[in-house]
Amino acid sequence: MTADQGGWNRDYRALRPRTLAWQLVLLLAIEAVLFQRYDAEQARFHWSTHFLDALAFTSLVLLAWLSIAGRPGPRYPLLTLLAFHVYAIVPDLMFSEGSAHSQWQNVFLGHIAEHYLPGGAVAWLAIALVLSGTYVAALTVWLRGRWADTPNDLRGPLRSGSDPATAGNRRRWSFVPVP
Amino acid sequence: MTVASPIDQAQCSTGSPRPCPPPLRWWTPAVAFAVSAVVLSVLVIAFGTNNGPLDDPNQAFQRDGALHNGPQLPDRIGGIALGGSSVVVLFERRQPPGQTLAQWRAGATRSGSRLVVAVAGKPGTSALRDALGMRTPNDGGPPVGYAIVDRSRRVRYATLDPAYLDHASEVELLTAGLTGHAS
Repeated sequence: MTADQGGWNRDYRALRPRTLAWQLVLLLAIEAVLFQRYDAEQARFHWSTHFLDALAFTSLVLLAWLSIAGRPGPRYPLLTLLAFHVYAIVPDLMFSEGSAHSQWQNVFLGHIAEHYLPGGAVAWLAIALVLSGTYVAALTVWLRGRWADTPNDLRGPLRSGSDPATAGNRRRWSFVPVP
Repeated sequence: MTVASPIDQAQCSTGSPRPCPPPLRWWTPAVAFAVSAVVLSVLVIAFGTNNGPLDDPNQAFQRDGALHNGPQLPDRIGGIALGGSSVVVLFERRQPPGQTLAQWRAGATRSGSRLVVAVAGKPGTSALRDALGMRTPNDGGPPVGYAIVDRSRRVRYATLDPAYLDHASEVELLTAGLTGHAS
């Protein structure tokens, strides 16, 4: 959790609220279209399974990135989730173009085999939530470390939800940011 | 209360010698995760499957879209001759209306397959159901769906599909996929 002086923009670029916001809007819009397409084919189970599989895999990638690089990444985490989901459903796009499924299509995040996990979509939901929750826990630890490393004059006024790990600094947190 | 850091990040530009605060409050990811987990759980559990009375209890086995190498059947089951050409066996609880079935048949047999309609309760239907490995739907009654047997009498596909009339193109795709295989 050592601060990398001189690399703040790089360290924080995956966490910019505005960037996350437009990614979220795009993700929700495209997922709504995909859900509607699968629903029209009476195949919601396939949307659920492939999305959750993509979420689980994305969580592993984000966790590995945070562990190895020491900072959150890649730059567009929600677009990464979308990209993995689209990758996972490539066989379905091929099917709609007239190509039957085949075992080799497991290269697309286990497109065929993943359906046979005992428990189906609910089991995938549990796996995806455990992995994404693990990533969020790791990211929270990283953020708390960064907040703890931040000089008091840069922390801004105390707001509800401030880090209890630095509660001893509460009085000093009342500073107005100094340019 | 804001989720973002109140600090103007411009003052923390690259090259700043001092540690800058993150652009998010430390608790923001946890809150976002909690909200997303609830929404996603409701979406998947309440709306994430098609699980009607005629659907397969295990959705993995319904319309998986892949041709398999199932068991090889004898040359006659329930009075139906197999082999020589591929056969699509449609399982229904009642005889489908003629016009509707004709439209479905056109797609299902476009690749030269024969169509056999096996209506529940009719002679030979139970034998076909058992031999083709048709699964039992949620309501425990006879299956509604279809199976595909190739010209060497091997079961290549068997699925429940209560909306099969909407999926004639899938049957056409799968029977066309038999071409070129050692069938």
